[in-house]
Amino acid sequence: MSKVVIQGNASGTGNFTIAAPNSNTDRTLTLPDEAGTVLTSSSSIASSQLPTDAKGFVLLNSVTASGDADVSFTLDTTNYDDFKIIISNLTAATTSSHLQTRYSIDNGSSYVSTSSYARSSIGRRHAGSTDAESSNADSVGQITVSESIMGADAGESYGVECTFIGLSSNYAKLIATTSGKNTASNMAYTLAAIQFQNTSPITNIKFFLSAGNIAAGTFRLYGLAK
Amino acid sequence: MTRYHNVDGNKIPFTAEEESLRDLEEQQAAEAVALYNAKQYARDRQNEYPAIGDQLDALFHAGVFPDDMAAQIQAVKDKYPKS
Repeated sequence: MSKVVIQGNASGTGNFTIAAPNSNTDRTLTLPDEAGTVLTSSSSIASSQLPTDAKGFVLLNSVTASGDADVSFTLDTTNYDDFKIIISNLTAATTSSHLQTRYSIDNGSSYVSTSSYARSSIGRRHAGSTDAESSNADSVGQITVSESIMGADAGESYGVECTFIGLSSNYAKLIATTSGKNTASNMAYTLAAIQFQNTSPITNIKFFLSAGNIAAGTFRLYGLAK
Repeated sequence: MTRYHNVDGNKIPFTAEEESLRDLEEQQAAEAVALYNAKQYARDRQNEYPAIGDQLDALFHAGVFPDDMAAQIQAVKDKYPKS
């Protein structure tokens, strides 16, 4: 016959009470047949312990840029495979600058700047042409196109949503959209798809502008658990 | 002025080598923008030209197309008359 043992702790002085609720019904709590501790409302739960249908993008980091040449994130590709980065109020310090990204496969020690970025992008401003650009071998992952290039006048800023898919597998993909006021305060939009032409897992992502610093912006990194 | 990386929220100054590389990249980017801007007049014209179809229709009505092309166009017009 197995037994239930309630054991005190010789080093502590607090009183721990097992209390009954105000009820007239008999209940039995069966202890789990494994070691561990009891979860409470303030316990933290690792994403690996969540059921599949309860998993979603979780906020991993939030960075505020102010006069930075670039913003980069170290990626936890052990626990996450897909990432989303939301950039709010992205503001350029220098007019006519493209939003760009580069990837690192060595935890941020260096960034791939060879012809490893393929892209297909379209952009348009409300008073301008539709611009479609593509390449199979860029040295940088350029998100904006010429018609949606960023300005630096007052009120000119972008909201950006980037979804990185399969960073720990071959040929990671990025889908990005930008919306905001660009040069001459035209309303501008971009839809960009970028594929990394490299089979190595990406471990760090860097955002920067083709000219000048990132004057302001909030970068939020979210991860989708494997 | 020193440039800074923002790595996971931590500011790290550029090395001298990184500064030089960044200067070069910014110069190349500025040249690409200038090249695009130099053709702005062409994009502006394209936006305001009449549609190519309208231009061709005007040429048809001016009677400048070769007979065989004019006959093909007229055949389509006859097939789908204005209601």
